[in-house]
Amino acid sequence: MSSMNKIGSRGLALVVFLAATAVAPRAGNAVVVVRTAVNYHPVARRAVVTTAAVATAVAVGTVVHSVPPSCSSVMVGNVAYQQCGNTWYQPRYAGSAVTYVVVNPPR
Amino acid sequence: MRMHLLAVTTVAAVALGTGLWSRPSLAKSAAAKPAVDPDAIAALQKMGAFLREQQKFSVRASVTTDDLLSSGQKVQFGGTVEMMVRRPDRLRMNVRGDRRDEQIYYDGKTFTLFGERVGYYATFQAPSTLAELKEVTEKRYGIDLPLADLFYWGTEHDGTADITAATHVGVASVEGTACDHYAFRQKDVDWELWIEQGPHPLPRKMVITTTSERSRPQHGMVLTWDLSPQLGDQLFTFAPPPEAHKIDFDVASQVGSRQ
Repeated sequence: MSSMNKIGSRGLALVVFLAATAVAPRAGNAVVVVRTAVNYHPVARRAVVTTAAVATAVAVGTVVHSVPPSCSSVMVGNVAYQQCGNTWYQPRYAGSAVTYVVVNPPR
Repeated sequence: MRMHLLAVTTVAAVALGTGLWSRPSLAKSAAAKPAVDPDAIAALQKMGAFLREQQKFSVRASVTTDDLLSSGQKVQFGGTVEMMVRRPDRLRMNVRGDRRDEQIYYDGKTFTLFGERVGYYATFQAPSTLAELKEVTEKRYGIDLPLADLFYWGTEHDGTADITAATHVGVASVEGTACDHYAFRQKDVDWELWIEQGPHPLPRKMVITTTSERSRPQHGMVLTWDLSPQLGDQLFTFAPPPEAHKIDFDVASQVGSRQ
């Protein structure tokens, strides 16, 4: 798992791109993907899972594939958010996977 | 290397889904490629024609997919895909697996993607037929519809040209059903197909092996068909559970904008 944590935020943006387009990664990811017609998993989706746990300030616009379990689901003005301390994420579907983009606090 | 793998498997997936079953023009190419048994190609075409005749059906696929750990060890993930179709404009899909959780609803007007585990769903106004839907979901929304290749078996795209070998391996039993077992080869991919014998030439099992990768990862599925299912309208229209929240599709990232 430690190697997975090395993918940093720059890697996250790349991963999001990969998830959307299924283009291959350059290096450093933990998983080689077999893409088929029926069931494919974008590269390093699982690798990303651990990285959002770094609970320091995250730049607005950063995209991750999961948020820490301690985050709470919050509705503000009929919009769904995940609030993780001072960091707010807005979920959205990128392809068939939910991703979370860091946004300015809505309140 | 990985890019190569992805490209190859994607090509294979497209080829598998699109043309192999649909084109009757094998005679010439078979003469030029004696490794391709024309009877094996004819079996694909017969299967495709039969599938295209079905106006409604449900199919359940038990799926396994290999991945590699960073150590190089190959591991297998599993899941199921349930698909219910009423032509021309109804689709319902449930995808459940170690790493996937998707429900898809399409009623000729609205497409909904719902992830039960995360509790989020998103919708878009959909085209009025399944054929158009596949185009939109893949190109605009980046959503791969599992088993959606079924829809392409009726198109004119030609995949037979990619096949470098086609063989009837023999007769085999898939979950108690007698099938003809075929093996095909094309660049970087070997694949096998088990087609039910008798009046219902259905694909009952498929295995895809990526031969360009040293570990030769495989993707396999066993299919169970129901050609006379009861498919009521309510199956195809999403009614959000109280705890589910609607979110948006991130369409921008689907049009090739690098972040």
